[in-house]
Amino acid sequence: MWADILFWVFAAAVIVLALAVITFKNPVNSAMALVADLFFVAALFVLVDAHFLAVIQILLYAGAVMVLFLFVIMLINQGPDELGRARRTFAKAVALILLFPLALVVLRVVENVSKGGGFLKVPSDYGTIEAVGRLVFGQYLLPFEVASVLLLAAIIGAVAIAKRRLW
Amino acid sequence: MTVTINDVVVILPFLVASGGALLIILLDSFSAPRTPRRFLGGFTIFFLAVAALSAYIVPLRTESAFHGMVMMDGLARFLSVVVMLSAGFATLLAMDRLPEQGSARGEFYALLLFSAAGASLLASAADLVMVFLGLETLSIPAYAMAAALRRDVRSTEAGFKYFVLGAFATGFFLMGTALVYSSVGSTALGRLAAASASGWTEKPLLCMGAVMLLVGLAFKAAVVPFHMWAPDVYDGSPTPATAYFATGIKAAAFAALLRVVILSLPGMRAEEINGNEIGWHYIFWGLAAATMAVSSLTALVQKDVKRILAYSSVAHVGYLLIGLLAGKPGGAAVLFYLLVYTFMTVGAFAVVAYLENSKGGTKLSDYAGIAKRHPYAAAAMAVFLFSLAGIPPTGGFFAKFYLFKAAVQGGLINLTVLGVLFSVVSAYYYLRIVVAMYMEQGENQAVIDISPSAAVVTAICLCLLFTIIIGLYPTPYLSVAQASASMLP
Amino acid sequence: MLSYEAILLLIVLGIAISVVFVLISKFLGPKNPNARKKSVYECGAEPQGSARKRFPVKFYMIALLFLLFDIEAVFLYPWAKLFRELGFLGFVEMGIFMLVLIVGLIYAWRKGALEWE
Repeated sequence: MWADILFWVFAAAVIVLALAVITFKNPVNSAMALVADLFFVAALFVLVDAHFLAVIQILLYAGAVMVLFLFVIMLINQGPDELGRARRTFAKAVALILLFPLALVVLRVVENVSKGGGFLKVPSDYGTIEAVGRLVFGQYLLPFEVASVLLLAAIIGAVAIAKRRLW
Repeated sequence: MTVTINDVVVILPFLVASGGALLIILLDSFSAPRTPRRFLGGFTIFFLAVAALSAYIVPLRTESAFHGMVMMDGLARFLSVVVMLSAGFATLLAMDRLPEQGSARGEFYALLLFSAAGASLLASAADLVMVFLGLETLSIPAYAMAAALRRDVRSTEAGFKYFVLGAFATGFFLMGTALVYSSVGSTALGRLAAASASGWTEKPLLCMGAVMLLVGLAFKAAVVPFHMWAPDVYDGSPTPATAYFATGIKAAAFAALLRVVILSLPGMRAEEINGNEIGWHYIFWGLAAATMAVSSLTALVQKDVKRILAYSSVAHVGYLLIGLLAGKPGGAAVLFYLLVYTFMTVGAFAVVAYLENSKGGTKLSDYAGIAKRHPYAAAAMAVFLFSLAGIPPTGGFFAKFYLFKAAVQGGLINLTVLGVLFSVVSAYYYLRIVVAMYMEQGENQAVIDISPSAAVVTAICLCLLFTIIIGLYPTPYLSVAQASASMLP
Repeated sequence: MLSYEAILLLIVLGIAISVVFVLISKFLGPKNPNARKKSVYECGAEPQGSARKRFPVKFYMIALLFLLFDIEAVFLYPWAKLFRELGFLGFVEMGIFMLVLIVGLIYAWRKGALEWE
């Protein structure tokens, strides 16, 4: 019962905040709305006992990734006059028209899924830290180790691009 | 959950390449700041060679390793070697193109090795998670390589565009993976094949997921209409990086397309529902036609040699897509084509790099009268361009010949006709470069020749050699490709 | 569904306390605004120019490096939780992961990416 109510509250918050992200004029406001949005997504993960993802959502996304977003926004630092322009009504109209068939497809999918053509059942401890850990250090060991190589490549790429004096 | 030696040997090419990258990073970090970094290029080629060799030493196995994550079959082996070749040539070009202080010199080699390692992993992936990680390990270093000339605005722009659109494509791929997982309950490609074998039209999540996977991979392979980044990125990036993007990354993207679509979704090929024919066969059909048409026609009006070659590489993606539709002989033809394409495209970019080293521009007008100043480079360029156009007796002719033959056998008559038609169109823009080099008078007749750089010359000669040898005697290479494609449906 | 009443209570209490404090200071605190007080606070100095300046790229690089090592740290979490269960093999698995990333740290350090230039 409680879980259902909380789900609808959190889900509504996620959607409202996501809309806020794309409608705010000021990118800093959008970023802040995204932070709040990610908190509610984390809450949704908690509702399905996916604790690890909830923690990641807050630590990595709401924390570190959003800091990076803000730095990039401040780095580019578009003034209000640059942000005020670019009302491409025509482009928006075309986008809306193109969105329509996609929305139909998504609606069909949702309809079909809610009729039971749907998602799989997973065990109740599916997303807990222990369960995720067993998967990461067991079945998904190779992806885990490859991720370290990927992160290293990202570190080198970031330094190679952004370091002011590189030798 | 133990790891055996049998598991480890399957990822040997990945281990060698990424281990080499680690070593190069350490060497670069501990070398004196202002010393040259050419010696790192030598190390890079060594590690790439060992990685390619290790792919051949590892015994082929059909069962997968690391709990169904990777496998070393003919496809993985063949495309790993193609990627290592491409990366090796890119290293040769980089040794002469990146001497400048301030550009990412040491890092470039490490990033190239990381990218090649990721591509080899992608080629041997047996699980969507591995495909994703391979794609990312392949792409993230590539974004940085595109921006390696840090003081050049166009190089930075190339890196930025590549990154933004590449990240967008990755998002599509991840979303597709999630949707497929929510329908199938597994990310293993084998399970995906089983689940999509029948009744897939009743599984909307699977269908949406499959389409998103396709979009993500089409971005990486620069298929029209997901190709918009390619000309800008290929044009702005340092030429060694461009050579690698146009060949190595393309080979890896086709590895992913073969693994994820051809091998894992054979059931979703074509089906008739309520009189509508649906399935990826029709999607690919349209993509192949659009890719050939748009790229060939756009290339006609380009005024920069690098951009012409960029659109040419998109056009070749169109031909390769035809091969994907043509079943087993088509798969073999695709592999053979990718090998030949690597030699001729890298060769063409190597000549571009050679002329850039001689302080020349890349505009078509800069190539006017090149034949007088650089007769050998011009001749080599002409051979590569003839090969790209598919004129006998070059390797490119046989590559196209086998591809179209397989397509006709597979009943793709209309696509084959389109392919031949646009090959003729492509001959026009390739010949424009040849005409500029041989027939036109250059305005700038002052010869600013520097001493020919050994590494680039080596790359040109090797590519020339293989383009001609494969043209004269294609059988052994073709039979290797056929053996490597034997598991395709 | 495990029980999260305690967390919910914590969130509610946390919000309530901060709201109450803000309201208390709003209604009880004395207010004597003047021009100097209402100006932007800049460590007591006169505010100069707009605060909307371009941030140097070094902020971004530090943040990106932080993010990458943060991701590494997140993986330590389930590993620590399962440390006994995974045993020596788990130790080796994490060791390889850490070693690869330590190479990144060495690189960033040697190249001076961590210095504030």
